[in-house]
Amino acid sequence: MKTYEVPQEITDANSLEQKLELLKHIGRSFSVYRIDCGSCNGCEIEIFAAITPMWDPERFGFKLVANPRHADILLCTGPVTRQMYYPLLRAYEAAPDPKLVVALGACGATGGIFYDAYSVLSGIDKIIPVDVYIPGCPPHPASIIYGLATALGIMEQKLQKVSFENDGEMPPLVEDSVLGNTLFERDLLVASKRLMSYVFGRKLYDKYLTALAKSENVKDTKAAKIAITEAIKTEIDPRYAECLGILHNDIYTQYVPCSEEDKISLHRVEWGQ
Amino acid sequence: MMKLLDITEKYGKATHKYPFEPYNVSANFRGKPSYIYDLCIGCAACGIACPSNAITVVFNDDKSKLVWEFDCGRCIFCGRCDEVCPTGAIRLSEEFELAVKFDKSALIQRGELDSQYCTVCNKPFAAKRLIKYSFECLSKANLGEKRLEESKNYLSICPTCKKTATASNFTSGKEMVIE
Amino acid sequence: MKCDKFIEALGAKIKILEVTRQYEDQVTALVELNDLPEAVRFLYYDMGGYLSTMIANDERSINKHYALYYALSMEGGKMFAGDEIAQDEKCFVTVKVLISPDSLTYPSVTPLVPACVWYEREAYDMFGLVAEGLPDKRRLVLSDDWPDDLFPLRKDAMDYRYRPDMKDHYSEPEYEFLRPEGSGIIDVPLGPLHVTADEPGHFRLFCDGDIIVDADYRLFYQHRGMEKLAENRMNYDQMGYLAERVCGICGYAHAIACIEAAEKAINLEIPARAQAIRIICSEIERLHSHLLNIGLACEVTGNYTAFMHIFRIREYSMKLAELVTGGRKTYGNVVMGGLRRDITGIEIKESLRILQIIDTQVDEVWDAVMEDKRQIKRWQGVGVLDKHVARDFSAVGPNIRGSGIKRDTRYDHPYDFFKQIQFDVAVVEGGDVFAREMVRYLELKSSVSIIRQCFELMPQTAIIVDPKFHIKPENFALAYVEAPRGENVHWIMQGSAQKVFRWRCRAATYNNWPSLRFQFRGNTIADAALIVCSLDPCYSCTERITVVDIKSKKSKILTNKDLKEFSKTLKNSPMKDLR
Repeated sequence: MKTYEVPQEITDANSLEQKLELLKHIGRSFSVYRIDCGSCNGCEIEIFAAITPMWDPERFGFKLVANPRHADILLCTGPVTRQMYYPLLRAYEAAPDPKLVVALGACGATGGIFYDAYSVLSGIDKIIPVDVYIPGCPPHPASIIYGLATALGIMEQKLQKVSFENDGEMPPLVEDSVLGNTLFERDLLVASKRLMSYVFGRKLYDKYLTALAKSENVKDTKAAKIAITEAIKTEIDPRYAECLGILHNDIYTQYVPCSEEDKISLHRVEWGQ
Repeated sequence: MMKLLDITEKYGKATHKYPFEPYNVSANFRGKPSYIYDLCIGCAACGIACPSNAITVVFNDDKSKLVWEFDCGRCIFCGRCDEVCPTGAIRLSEEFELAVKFDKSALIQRGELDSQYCTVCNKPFAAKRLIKYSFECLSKANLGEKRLEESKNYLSICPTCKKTATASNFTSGKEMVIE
Repeated sequence: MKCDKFIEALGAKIKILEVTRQYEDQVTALVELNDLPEAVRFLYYDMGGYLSTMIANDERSINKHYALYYALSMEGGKMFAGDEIAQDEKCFVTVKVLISPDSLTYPSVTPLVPACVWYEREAYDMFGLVAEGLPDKRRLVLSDDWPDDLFPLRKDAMDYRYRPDMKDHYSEPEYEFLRPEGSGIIDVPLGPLHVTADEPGHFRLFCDGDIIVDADYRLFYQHRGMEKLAENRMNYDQMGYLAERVCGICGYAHAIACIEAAEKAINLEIPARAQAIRIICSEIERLHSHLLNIGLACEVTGNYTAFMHIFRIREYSMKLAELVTGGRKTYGNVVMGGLRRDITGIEIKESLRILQIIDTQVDEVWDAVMEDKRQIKRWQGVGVLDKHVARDFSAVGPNIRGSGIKRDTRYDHPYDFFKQIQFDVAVVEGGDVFAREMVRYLELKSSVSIIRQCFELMPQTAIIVDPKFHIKPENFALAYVEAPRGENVHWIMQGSAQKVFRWRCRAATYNNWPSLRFQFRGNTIADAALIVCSLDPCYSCTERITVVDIKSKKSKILTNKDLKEFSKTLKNSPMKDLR
């Protein structure tokens, strides 16, 4: 599909040397013009938040201007929609050379989650040449400040390309099962994730196994109950405490035959709390 | 008007000192995914779960390696890859300083895994590590010796050949007794 | 059961071909094509309903027709005290018709119910269904350079990735505006916005001297083709993330509504803890959105200090969101069957501390703003939304609550955990900007109280169901959520192969735009920016405005900066130097 070709005089005026020269001159005070090419406005709101007193980029010379003819840096967001393709080009040609173009957000960098929709031209660098990319959906205002600081040379770029090419062919280690059957650990992890979601469920899983390992005999139902009850009493967070009990009652009892009194009571009154 | 000025005086200067001092995000903030190559088994669960296809898991041109590739520019920082990974090879860190200048390839992370070839038709179908890992897990699951030996065989057969083998075993009436 | 009373009353007037029930409070009635306008009008005006959404669907692979669904929320007209349906009878009734693919026409409902105008225009844009008798037949959604005979949402029209060629940017196609009758009206040819492109959207005001007589607008600069994308590439787990990126301020409400529509279609009940946390997250979103809007309303009238203070308080609510969900704006914790991120005791403690800070500081700033008499005078009497206009166009959100009509989805159709929460609906009489900002302030206070109640009443269950449920192709359902801007309604018809068959996403502001031109009339140009801001469109859309003076036949193009400047300082009237 035929899209915009940058006119020769603009390409000539925007060579790398000239851009670096520009950066030297605008280091203490730079004008930014914002172009929204059909974004959902999450990035716009974060730019807005980045201008307010909590983040205050005016400390190092940032100034938002209302006209692309006054701009040094063009800050573009959004995967370019068909309708905004035309305004974007007009603004790009109106800005004086040399200029820097910053693509903000996942949509600006590559089209983001919309990269192949019919009404979108997947990313700003498919239309105009882009110099700085700031990933994020939307980027945290600290990320935006970091991005502008990197563009100006105040801070160093941290991200580098990483490529691993030597396969040692060793698979990850699989731990031995505590009860001699790895399906117990599998069911325990599934239940922890169902109770407390993957973020906290992993911690719950570790807490439970640590507590179980402290008992004298893992396969003895009475010793296991004492160990888990002890862990519940010393746990500060009430949600973890409750879920340790639920896990024990639901999963442990499936792998080691238990009677009703081996289950942990979830009423705190009975433990004297 | 005066009340507004009183409020200003009460709360003082509110600006964060970033970037001159580090900024601490909350615990469990969803930042850049970090890849641990040694734990990856090439199962492609992350590639299927990713809503924006930032992660791709495809064979290279001559199919000798399975290439896992992640493009941070397309990532939407949702954490689905973290959630579905069985070994913990990809976890979301708390990094938010991700801008790159002049060089878009700095956003890429990739890893290459050797391919496993099918013992029947000799075509590559998975990563070697995936087959070895599956075998390790099975060996801790209380299976009998003979069963474990049998599983070593069929783990190294590609899905197409497995289908053919099952169908032919079934139709030829062969029975196998495994303790 | 619910809805039966309305179906009986409808059946007495009009022949109903079939009635199906989707959920305990949702029923669909199939009627004949020619009875459509009368059926909708009867339910809307005579039985006290509001139009929630209208969905067009390509069902040729199911029953060889196209289908239209008009979903009405039966809650009472609410124009005066007592004009309301009983709480346990409120429900949704959908009127369905089938259109033959040979004729592709149907009788338009807009002459009888003005609220349908945008929906019918969009049905033409996306499917090519022509409404006979529709007064306004212009293209609504697709870009101006889109080929005329290509209708994207038809199943056989095109691949979802197909992109027609772009035109050269010096010969960009134009859009036709509706101008009022009268002598001396000027036609100013002018492209969509740009040079000061803040957020896309173009308005035209038609003025007599300093007073605005009428307005017209061209929107949908952000059409990205999400509905087609969802049908082709996304499965149910990924749709929540797509829906969240519809809007940058009320994204979470869209995510919840989208997933709940899919859940309701198969009658899936999610655990109580997941319901409570969904409510907590959506109320946090309401906090940040209302603070943003009140701040902007102050900034547009020149009160920079209040604007900066309100944004300083807003940062606390963003910190709260980051703590509870891991992200400042995209919370990303909704999946089918529950949630994928829990809240532990440590986070609850920290959240309560931040809520207390927000509560006290919002009170302080609001008192300070209310003391400022000049600020209040700029807000009073401006942009009045008349009750009858609001009733005719089915307005939603703080827009309609500021005009004295008590419409709130959390109260009319309680969803999720709201069945167990107590809260007051904020309703203020007056209809001007001041009333709307007052409604937003009262909602801020009640949001804080709702979050606290949820933290207390949250039970200790799991947060996601056992994934043993099955998708049922061709089941469909509505889901409704009260976003910061009003009622968000999503409609999903499930398809086979783990994807949706049709997803219709109706954002809240969609219902508010058609009545905006009535709010402009009689006000001065200086207040135009303020009126649009108080409507709270998904971020202020006052961009490039053309001012046309009917009497003198002259015009001038204003930029956003000029208009805001005039609004703040009341100097340099744009009516000088017209050419």
